[in-house]
Amino acid sequence: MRKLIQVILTHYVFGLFLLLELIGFLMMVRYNRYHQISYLSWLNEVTGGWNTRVSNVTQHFSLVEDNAILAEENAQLRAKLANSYLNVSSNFNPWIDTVYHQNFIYRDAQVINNQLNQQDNYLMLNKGSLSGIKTGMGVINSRGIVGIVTDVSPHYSVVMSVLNSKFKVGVRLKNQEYFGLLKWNGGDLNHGTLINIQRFVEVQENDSIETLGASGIFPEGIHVGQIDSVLPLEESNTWEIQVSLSAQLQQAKHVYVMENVFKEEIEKLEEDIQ
Amino acid sequence: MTPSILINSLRWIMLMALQIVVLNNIYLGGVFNPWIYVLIILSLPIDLSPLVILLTGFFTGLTLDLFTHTIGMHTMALTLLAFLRPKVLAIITPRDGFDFGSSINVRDLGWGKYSVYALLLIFPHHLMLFALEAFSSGLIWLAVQKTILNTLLTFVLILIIQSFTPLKEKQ
Repeated sequence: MRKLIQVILTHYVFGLFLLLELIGFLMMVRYNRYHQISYLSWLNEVTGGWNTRVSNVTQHFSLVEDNAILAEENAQLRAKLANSYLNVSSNFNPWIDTVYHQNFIYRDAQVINNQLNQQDNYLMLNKGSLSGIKTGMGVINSRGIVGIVTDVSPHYSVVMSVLNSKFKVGVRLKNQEYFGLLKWNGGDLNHGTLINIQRFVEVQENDSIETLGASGIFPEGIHVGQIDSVLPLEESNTWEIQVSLSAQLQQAKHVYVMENVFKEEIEKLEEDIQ
Repeated sequence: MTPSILINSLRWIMLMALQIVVLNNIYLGGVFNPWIYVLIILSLPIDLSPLVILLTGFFTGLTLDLFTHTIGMHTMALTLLAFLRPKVLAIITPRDGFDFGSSINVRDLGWGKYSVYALLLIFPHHLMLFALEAFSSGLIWLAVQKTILNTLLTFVLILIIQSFTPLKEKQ
């Protein structure tokens, strides 16, 4: 009997030892920036492998819709090709154009995990730093904006989605050029809030909202959504505008990660300002 | 019992002060970084229960972490040392147990046994600490090098401190 108690006592100490080490580890990855990043990156690799397996099965259920969405997008892009335009003025030949320089590079990726039921939602993509993805890149799908990359591991990346209380993006009214901030207040997955639009602007329902392109994360003029309702914000001279988001994150499977070629240049300039 | 608590508390304060105020501010080539505060756990009384040693290790490590801004690293390393102490002590215990009233220092154990005891405990602590500092498989070789160097350095410093310990008259 005494021996039994002794055995329990020694294992009790071992159990406490493991518990204390666990507490130490959690504190370490919580409060040290370097350890936090390494740990999250490692965790990405582990959970990413699992999410890929799940996604490999579930992606087949939505093939029909995915194909329809991609075909629709192809049609839109074909309409923008040079041979879709008729040259109505024979005086100019705009084939070789050195005025424009490639600004955004698009990389396709697949959503392998999509969180929607939190106040701060994140997506996981099946491409990471080995595919050239870096933190701070914008993510869109064929219908609208999806989010911004916040964490990258070699094979996976984590995207802070539009449906996140920390997400804010500069947007403007398509036909009026007045700009404001789009954010998400939680709850409804298809509606965001547009703030900072002054009262004197005549805002119409069903007006289109598009990206401003000011921060260099998203290109200018990407469709974001449509205005649902307009209400004056109390004790201020601005509108509070409900926007129905066009991206439909519930169905987001194929997305594009956008790299701004001039990002470093923009960041350097912004640093100089500060 | 009271003098024992007093002596251990005093040792705790002095070694922590020495570690934080003096040793942490000495940078020798960026590699030499002795951690003599482990002597706090090494010198705890022989008859202390493993549970108390474990908790002492945890909170001592945490305290040092707060001063060095490395939350968790010293906590984990010193908790490991505190966990291993009773097991290492069992290795060097004479067959008929320690003499009554003896404590863990060079005078009571002798150089040989004390060296085995100290090195077996300092090495895992330093390995854990420098591995956690590296926290990446690419830096593990550097961590091992630092572990070996600093284990010896800490060990020598501890022996120097031990040589200053006043000799108590033996009853």
